[in-house]
Amino acid sequence: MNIMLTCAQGVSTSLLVAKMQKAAADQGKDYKIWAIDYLSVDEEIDKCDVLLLGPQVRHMLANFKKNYGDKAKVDAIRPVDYGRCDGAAVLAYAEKLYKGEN
Amino acid sequence: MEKLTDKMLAWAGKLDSNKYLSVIKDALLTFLPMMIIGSFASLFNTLISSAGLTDTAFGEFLTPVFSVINFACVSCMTLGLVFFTGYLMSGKNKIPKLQGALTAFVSFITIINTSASATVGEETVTITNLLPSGSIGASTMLIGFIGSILCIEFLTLLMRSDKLKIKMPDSVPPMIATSFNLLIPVAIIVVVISVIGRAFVVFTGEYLPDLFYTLIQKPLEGVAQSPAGALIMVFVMNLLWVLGIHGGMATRAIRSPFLIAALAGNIAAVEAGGVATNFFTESFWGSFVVLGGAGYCIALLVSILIFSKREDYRAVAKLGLVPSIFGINEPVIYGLPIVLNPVLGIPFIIVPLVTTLIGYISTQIGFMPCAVIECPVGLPVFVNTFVGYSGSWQAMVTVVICFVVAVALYTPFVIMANKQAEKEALAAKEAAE
Repeated sequence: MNIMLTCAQGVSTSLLVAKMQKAAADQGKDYKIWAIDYLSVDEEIDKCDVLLLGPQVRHMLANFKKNYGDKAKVDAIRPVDYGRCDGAAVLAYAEKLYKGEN
Repeated sequence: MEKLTDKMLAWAGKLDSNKYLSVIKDALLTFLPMMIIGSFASLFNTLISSAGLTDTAFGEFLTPVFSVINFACVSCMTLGLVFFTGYLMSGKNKIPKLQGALTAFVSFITIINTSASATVGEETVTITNLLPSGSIGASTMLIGFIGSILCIEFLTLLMRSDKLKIKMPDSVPPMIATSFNLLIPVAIIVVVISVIGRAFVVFTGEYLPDLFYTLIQKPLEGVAQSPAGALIMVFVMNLLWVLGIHGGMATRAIRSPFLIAALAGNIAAVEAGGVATNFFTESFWGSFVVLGGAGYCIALLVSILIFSKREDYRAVAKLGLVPSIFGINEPVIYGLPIVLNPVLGIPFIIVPLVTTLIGYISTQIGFMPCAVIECPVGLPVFVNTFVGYSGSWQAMVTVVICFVVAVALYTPFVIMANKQAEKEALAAKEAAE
């Protein structure tokens, strides 16, 4: 599974990416996880299965769902998980999304 | 509160997804590196002259180099911005991007003043067919944005119109028809825009971009550079953050043109041997509005590390300190949280207003200079002030004062949060008993 995170510059979500990668490695899962700025989403959307928005840019969620909903599962990261920088929780959330459980 | 949040979310979403505003914002973001390079080139020239090296072989060779870099990057900025705007708009409208960009670029040049006058002795000489920086610099930025956007909207309309499509027999290669179907709309746009430009000169005696600058952009710049204008922008940005939205980003399209024009004005003033007078620039923003992230966050973290007895707060502050030094504070905003938290939300909105005011007063009394540097994002706190204000010690003193005041303002609220946690713990204990 390929998980792409995005926020304003892709910087703050990249903190979370490191935690998610670690969580995935601990669980023995071979996922590709990365963060980019919101401007580059259009170029990279085809590479990902799940697109997660930082909660601070969730006002763009409706737009992103409309534009990319057919190419990937799109949702916002829950503020609590984001604030705790809880890689495992966000990873589990992405997996649920991917399986269509949310 | 929930309703207000929903409303603000919808509003910020609209602001951010508005096609025109997002194009302007993205064009400016793409252009930012040029502002950094150009402003640094101008700084190097100042350094050469203040080191007394202007008349040495070193200075004589390098001064024109830095001058031309500054000219190309800053004084000609609207040319680049018009091209980007045309490019991004064409992408949104799904028409050929480079051709759209080029059409916007060419159309812009047809309406600007392409002559300059100089008085030699008693004779005034007018030279035509050149691009004076007054026509392609920051002063024509807004009309450049609006012009390119309109240009691409009309080009898109024309390109989609069936009446303008040339029908060729099937035996003609399709590429030929395609090229004509682009040529005719582009030709119409270029001719119509240049006729409008000419009509303005004939009927008003002035060029449209110059008139637009005097009547619209200049007054707006005045509002942005007034303390009230600056404080409103700062207030809205932090209010959005407290509601959980990236305020800096959501309001960027409105803020950025003015901050960049202000910097360009400052650089031009210094290059001409004068003094920079626009206080509200990106460097000001970085040092006196969002030091360590929105809310002057570094001060909050320091206050928590000194005064907070709450383990949860201390943990977030420890985790968030290093990112915040580099201006990244989203983990803190969601971790404490500040979002929808009245105890910390109130100082989060008030503190940046106070620091903005301190920075403003410091420039107004002539203590701190106005910035002439576009500071790269991601520099650590205080280093960004040092770089953004070309090493001015007065700016360093001002930012330290702001930092101390900000810590002092946050502290009562941090202590209040201690008591709140104690009460909650007590209530939980009583409930358990």
